[in-house]
Amino acid sequence: MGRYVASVVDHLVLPGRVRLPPAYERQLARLGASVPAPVPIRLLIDTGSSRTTLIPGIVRHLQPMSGSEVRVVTATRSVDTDLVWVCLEFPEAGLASFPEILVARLAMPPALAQFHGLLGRDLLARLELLEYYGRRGRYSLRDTPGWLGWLRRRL
Amino acid sequence: MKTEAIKDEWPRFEETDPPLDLTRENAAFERERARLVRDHLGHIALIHIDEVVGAYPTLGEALEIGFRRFGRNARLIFRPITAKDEPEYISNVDVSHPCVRPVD
Repeated sequence: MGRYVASVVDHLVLPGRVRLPPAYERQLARLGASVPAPVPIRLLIDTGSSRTTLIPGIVRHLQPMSGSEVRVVTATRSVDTDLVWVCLEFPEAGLASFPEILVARLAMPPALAQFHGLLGRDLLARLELLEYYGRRGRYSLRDTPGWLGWLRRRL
Repeated sequence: MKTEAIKDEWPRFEETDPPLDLTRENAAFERERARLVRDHLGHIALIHIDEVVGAYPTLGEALEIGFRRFGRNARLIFRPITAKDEPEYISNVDVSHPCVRPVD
């Protein structure tokens, strides 16, 4: 679909939207149940995180399907939490959606409370490229190879 | 093994709820894991409390079967079929929040 370029002010931030997986939304609609509205979110790109996360407040709003639990190893201790199925979309960034992904239900540290979760390596691995232009203070995300993709693959 | 009574209702997540207690679902999955990995690796296991209902290639199929067989409000878990459970490494976490359960 495209390439997203953004300025970096302290953090690498990706705007997006989270909703229930389309298959679940269809089932709810078919049964006449209410479908939670999609929620605009700001994700912190975190290459040190192996899994994408969402804060408990967003999970409470969506009431998604449970996909089991997961052990999370942090710098100070290990904890268990839930994995839930959601759909992540990036209309503002123009990047491809992830219709059915498992994210960890985790609260952000207080210093990062302005974010709704982390974009971890599980999803970054499904994108083509993440580039950080340090001196220019920008980063870019690409979900498809682009014009120079053949050259990058050779490097 | 401790077997607690649990309600057969759709898992709900309030903001400060602890993680779901999936002891029984996990035990059911482990009993079937070898077969599921051999025959359905990468698919979705539909689990209803102590029973692995089946393995389905898509989340949509698992959901449809689950709703048809148990209704909209049953306690259903949709677990990816993997050979083993890998821990996740995540630093930016508030480990004091009640949504996590400390590991002893």
